[in-house]
Amino acid sequence: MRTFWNVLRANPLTLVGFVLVVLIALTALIITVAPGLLTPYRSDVATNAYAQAPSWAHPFGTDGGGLDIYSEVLYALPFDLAIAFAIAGVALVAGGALGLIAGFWDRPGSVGGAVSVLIMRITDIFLAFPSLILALAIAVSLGRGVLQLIVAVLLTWWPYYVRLARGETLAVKHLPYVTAARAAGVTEGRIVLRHVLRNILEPVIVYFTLDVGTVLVTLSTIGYVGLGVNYPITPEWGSMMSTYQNAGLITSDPWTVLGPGVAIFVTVLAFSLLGDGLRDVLDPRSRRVLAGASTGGPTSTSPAERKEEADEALGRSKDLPGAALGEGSPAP
Amino acid sequence: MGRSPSDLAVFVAKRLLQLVPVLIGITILTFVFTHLSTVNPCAQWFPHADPTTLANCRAQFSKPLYVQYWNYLVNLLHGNWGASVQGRPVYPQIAQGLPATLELVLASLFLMIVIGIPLGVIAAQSAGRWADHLVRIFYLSGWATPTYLGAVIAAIFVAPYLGLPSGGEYTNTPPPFPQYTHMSVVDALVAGNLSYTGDALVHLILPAATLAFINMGIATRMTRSSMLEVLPLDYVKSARMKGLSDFLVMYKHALRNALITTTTVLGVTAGGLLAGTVVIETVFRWPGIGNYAYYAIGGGGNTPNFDGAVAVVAVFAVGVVVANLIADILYGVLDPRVDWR
Repeated sequence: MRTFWNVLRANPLTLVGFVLVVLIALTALIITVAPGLLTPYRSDVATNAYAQAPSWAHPFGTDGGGLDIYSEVLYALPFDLAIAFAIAGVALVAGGALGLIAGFWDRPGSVGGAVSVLIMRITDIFLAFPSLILALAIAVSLGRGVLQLIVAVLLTWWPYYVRLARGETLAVKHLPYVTAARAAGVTEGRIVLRHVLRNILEPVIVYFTLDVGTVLVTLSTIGYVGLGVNYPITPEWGSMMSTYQNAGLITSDPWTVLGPGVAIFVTVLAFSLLGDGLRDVLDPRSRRVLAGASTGGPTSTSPAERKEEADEALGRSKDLPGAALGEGSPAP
Repeated sequence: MGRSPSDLAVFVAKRLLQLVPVLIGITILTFVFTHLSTVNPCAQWFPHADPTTLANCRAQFSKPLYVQYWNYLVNLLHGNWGASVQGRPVYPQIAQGLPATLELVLASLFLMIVIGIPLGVIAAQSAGRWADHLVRIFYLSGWATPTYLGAVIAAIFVAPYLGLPSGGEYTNTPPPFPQYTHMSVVDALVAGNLSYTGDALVHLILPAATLAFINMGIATRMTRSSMLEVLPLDYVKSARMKGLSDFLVMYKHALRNALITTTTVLGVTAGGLLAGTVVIETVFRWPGIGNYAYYAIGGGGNTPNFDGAVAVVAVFAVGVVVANLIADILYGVLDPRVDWR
C-alpha cells in the first residue's frame, strides 16, 4: 500500500489519472443508483428542446430527438465502462491463463512444449489481424446487441494477454527463488500459483489499466461505424456519434460532437495517465515484452536489465540470501 | 559471427518461410469469422436482398464447411475475389485502393517518426521535469482520442480553420493525367504536374497528421524508454568525459538506438495504423482500402458487401504480417548483436 502511494506521487500526472479514474467510477456508480443527483432528465425521455445549442439547462445541448446530450452521456458512462471492463477482464483471465501455461510448460519435446507451441501459433495468427477490423467483421456476423459487441471485441482481444503473460512468465520462471523452490521439493502447481502468478500479476495489472482505455476506444469505434449496440435503446458514446452523424447533426449542429467526444476522451485519458504512470515503474519489463513477440525480433535483454528484474523480484531483501530459499514469496 | 551476405539470405529466407503457415492461418481465421459466426449469415450479410441473391447465399452456405473453405481458397488464389451485391468486382477495387492506403500510412509513419522520436528524446533528456510531463500529456491525448473523434474534429473544425481541404485526394478529380500507381502524390510527380503534386500533398497532410497524432504515443514512449536506458551507460559517459558536447553525445551516440526503435515502432504500430485508416479514409473521403472496408462491413447503415469484407479483412492481416516481416528484417540488419544464422 505504501509503495502504491509512492508510485502515485512519483509523477503528478499519475496522481491526476488516479483521481480522475476514481471520480469517473464514482460518477458511474451514482448515475446507476441515484441518477437524480446528477441530472434532472431520465434516460431516453425527450425534452421539448430540439437541437438546441449548449445552455445552462442543457450543458451539452440537445439532439434532434430532444434528448439532453449531457444526460445521455452520463447514462452511457456505466455501460461503456462496464463493457470495457468485461472485455478486458475476460481477455485478461483467459489470455493470461493461456500465456502462463504456454510460458511455464514450454520445454521442447514434452507434451507441455507441444501445447505451448500450438497456443503461440494460434495466438500469432490472431495477432496478425488489426483488432478493430476483425472485431468489425465479427460484429456484422453476430448482429447488434451488447453481448454480441462484447464477444466480437473479446475474440480479438485475448491474444494480447497471452503474449504478455507468456513473456512475463518466461522472465520469472528462471529466477533463483523459483529454481530454489523446485529444489526444495515444492510441487509445480504450487510454484505456478504462489510464485510465478504473484509476480507476473503486477505488470499484467498495469497493462490492464492501460488496456481498459484501449478497449473503450475500440468498442466505441465499432459503435461509430454503426455496429454494436443500438443507440436509442442502449446508450453508448460511439453509437451516439454515429446517430448524430447519420442525422447530419455534426455539420448543422456541431456542438453535438462535444458531449460524447469529451466523455470518451477524458475517460480514456484518465486510465491512460494512470496506466502509463504505473508502467514507468516497471519500465524495463514492459518494454521488453512489448518489443518481443514470439515471431518478432529478438528480445534484447541486457545484463543490466536481467539483474534489475532479478533484484526486483527478490524484493527489498536482496542482501539476505536466505530469502531466496523456501516458499517466501517476494511479492510485496 | 553469422553476419555475412549469404547468412542474410538465410535469415530472410527463414522469415519468408515462416510466413506461409501464418498466411494460411489468416485465410482460415478470416473464413471462420465471416462464415461461421451466426446461425443465419445470409440474413446478416445480405439484408433486404432479392430472392435470387438469398437463394445463392443459402446454396453457398449449405455446402459442407471444408468444401466452402476450399472454394474460398481456390478463388482467393485465382484473384476471383467475388463482387458486391450490385455486381462490382472486389479485386480491382482493392487493388486500386491499396496503394492509396499505403501512401496514407507511409505519410503517417513519416510524421510519427519525425515528430514522435525527437519528442521522446526531449522527454528522456528532461525526465521527470515539466517538458517530460508535457510530452506525456501530448502523446497520451493522441492515444485517448478515438480515430472517429480525431477525424471528425480534424475534417470539420480544424480543416476550415487552417484553410486545408477536408477530404479527397485532389481538389479536382479525376486528375488530368493517368494514375499509374494510385498514390496521389506519386502519380502527380510522375506526370510532372507540379501544381497537382502540391495539391495532393495538401490533401494528404491532414488525414496523415490525424492518424499520426493518434498513434504517435508508442513511438515517443519507446524512444523515451530506450534513451533513458542508454543515457547512463558507460559509453555515453565516456564520450561526455572525452569532451564531446552534450548535443553530439545525445545525437550521435545515444540516438543510434532510435533507428532500432523505429523499426520496432513500424512493427508494433502497423496494426493500429491500418485499423485507423478505416475511419480516417471514410471521414476524409480518401479512396483507399480503409474506406472500402468501412462500406464493405455495412458502415453507416449501408448494405454490407460480403465478398468485399472477406477479402479486405484478409488483406489487412497480410499487411500487418508483411510490415512485421520488414521490421524484423530491418532489425536484424541494424542490430549488430543479431546472428543471422
